Amino acid sequence: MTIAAARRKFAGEWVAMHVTRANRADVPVAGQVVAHAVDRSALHQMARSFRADHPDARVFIFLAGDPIPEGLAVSLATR
Amino acid sequence: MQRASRIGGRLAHGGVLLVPVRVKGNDFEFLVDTGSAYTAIALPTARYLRTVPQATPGVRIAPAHGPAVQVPTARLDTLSVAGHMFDNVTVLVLSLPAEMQIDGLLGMDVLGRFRITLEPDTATLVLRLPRAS
Repeated sequence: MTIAAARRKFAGEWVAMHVTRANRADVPVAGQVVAHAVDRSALHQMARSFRADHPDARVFIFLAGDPIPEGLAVSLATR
Repeated sequence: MQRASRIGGRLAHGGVLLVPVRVKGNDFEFLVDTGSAYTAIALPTARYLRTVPQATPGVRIAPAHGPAVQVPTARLDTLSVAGHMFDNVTVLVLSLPAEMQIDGLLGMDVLGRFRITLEPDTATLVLRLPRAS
């Protein structure tokens, strides 16, 4: 499944994908969904479990949705 | 290694750019933040990575609004962007607002090693190696 397809299928959820294909810039483009959950910490727990069984696997963790809600403007700077 | 890497990311609300960053075998989406001197990871991400934040000495930061604050740091064995790998990277560990669900910020300590171009119309970050390297 492509990353784009996973974003559509699991809209609003956190997703962990085992990356099977990356592009020339090493950006993940496809893989297998190994976990998805609305709750981020639940997803992390499942992803950690997957990684324990597959320590060499490359896992892409992302929110399938906008991580910044409407009405919140980001203005960050750290020095 | 190619001299230029075009990193296709995505735009979040407000037009900020998110790109994949690889840490300890995991890829996360980091917000490209040219206003930040340091790369940072969010506290939940640090917990997932089992990275222990060190409060001492920490780093004093000046947020875009409000007084300067002291924040903990963590040492990442490796961090890579578009296949460019960096070892022993010190990052800030930030408690970001709960509604801002990002995993980290890609700051100038990493971005500054490249000639960078932001292409908002294609949600792309272009990294070029400096001419001298």
